[in-house]
Amino acid sequence: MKISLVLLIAWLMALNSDGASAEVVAVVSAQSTITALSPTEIADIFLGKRARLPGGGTAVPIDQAEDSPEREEFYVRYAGRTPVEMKMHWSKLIFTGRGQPPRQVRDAEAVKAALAAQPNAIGYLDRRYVDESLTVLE
Amino acid sequence: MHRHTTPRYCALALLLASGGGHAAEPEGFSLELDAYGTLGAVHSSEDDADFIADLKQPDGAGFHDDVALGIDSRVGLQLTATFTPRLSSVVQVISEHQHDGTFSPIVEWANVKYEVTPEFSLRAGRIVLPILMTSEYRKVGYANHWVRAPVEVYHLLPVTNNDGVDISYRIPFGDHGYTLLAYYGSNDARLPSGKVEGDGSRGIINTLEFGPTLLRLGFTYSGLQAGALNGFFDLFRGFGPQGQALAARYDLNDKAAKSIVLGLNHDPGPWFAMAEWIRIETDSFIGTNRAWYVSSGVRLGRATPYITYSRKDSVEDFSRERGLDIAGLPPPLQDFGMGLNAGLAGFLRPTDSATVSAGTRWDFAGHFSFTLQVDHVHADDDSFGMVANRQPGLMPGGRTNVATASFSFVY
Repeated sequence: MKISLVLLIAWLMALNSDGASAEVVAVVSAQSTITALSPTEIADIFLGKRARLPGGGTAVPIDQAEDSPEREEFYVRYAGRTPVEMKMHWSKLIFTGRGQPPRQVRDAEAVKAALAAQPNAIGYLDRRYVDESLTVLE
Repeated sequence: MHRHTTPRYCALALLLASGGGHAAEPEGFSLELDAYGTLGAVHSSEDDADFIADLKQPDGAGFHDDVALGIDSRVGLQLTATFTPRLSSVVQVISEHQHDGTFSPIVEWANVKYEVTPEFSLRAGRIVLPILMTSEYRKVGYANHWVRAPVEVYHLLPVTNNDGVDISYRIPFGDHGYTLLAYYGSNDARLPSGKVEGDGSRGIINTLEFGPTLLRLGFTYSGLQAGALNGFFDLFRGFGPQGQALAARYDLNDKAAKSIVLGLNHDPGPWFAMAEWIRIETDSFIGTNRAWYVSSGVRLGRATPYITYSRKDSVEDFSRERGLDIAGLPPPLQDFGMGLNAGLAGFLRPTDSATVSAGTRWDFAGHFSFTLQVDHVHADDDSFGMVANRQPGLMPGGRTNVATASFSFVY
């Protein structure tokens, strides 16, 4: 009985901590002509494998800071890649001139500013920063 | 990995580019400096030969050094200039163990890229020679799970860059993609024994990507100019028609190297596997060789344990080659001919071997990785293996253990 109570509490705590972790979503400016992209398309754009948007424009991915939890969660969720795998990925491309990683900005506010300035820009941020200036790609 | 778009760097670049003139800042101009490096220490259990990672290395671990630092260590510095969204340029300088024993820096790449469309790009200048799957990044230790690309396969192509042009055309379809890469140019490999030049070097590499899987098929051709053995084969030519025939058959000069390569990479994330196969034909004493490897690892947090198996086989059997027929020649010429035949037999000796490697990479901090690898190299019964500086005590069919500790970074 005691053991099952402990387990129940542990399970509830686990659920709770899960719920508390940030949910990162891919976003574009509300002014953007893009309204939907598949998770694979989003991942390919951020991995440098896809340069074009469905409408024909050149995609401009915007990264958050290198050690931010948002960045880690975004790549794990959309590309299935850990931060180390992403660093290895880009070191394979950079040193042959095949590509450059996305432009990096400081935080969610900076992502919003970058998206507002560039209609073809795509970023990601914690869902709680989403406002009417953004369209969530889902 | 650090993009500098600050006005200070732009101004510096403009000063360099315009010689201090009054050029306006071009839109979208950026300069980026990236660096990579590896410090690797290698020990080999075979004292009568040198284990090397690249044919251009004059010495390695075993005979020359108990612990050799020149096998995997290198540092590379790259400047990427983006002039417009379509026009960019890359210059990379590398310092690594050269044929002459020095670490003098060399220009590995220096090219200009123009993107006609995001899917279609042209490059001109000194460009990577992309024959094998990891050719583009094999020197960047941090980008690789192993300490070095399997020598059985990568020894066959000691050239890494090409002076010429290449085109890359990508056709995306759905979540998949096909890329055609074609190149043309000339190159040279400076080996301790002399320079081997490749001219009219050309190839087509087809890459198919679907999700985490990549398939690669390439066909390449290169003319070869190698003057180092001219003197040796001229001695054969002095023996009349039979010597001329032998020289024509085995000299590397004015020959060609033709290769077919097949590669597979599957990387779903928690684990990965890659395999590569190459057949390279030279119509010379090097003969036709076939080599392949398979490598696989799992990612367990910061640790990536992996195993690799690689092997090389000579397709042509030169064991029946008797060289010059010296019967009936005057005795002094017989002795001389025997000496030449012994020399030729040395060149024709197979270098076939197989290696089993096991290792672990640790991503212990940010842009740094540390890798430990052990190799068990088994030379075929009639072979000394792919080693340098063979000493009289070296026996064919040897088994050698090699241990490597390697530290890499990218910046």
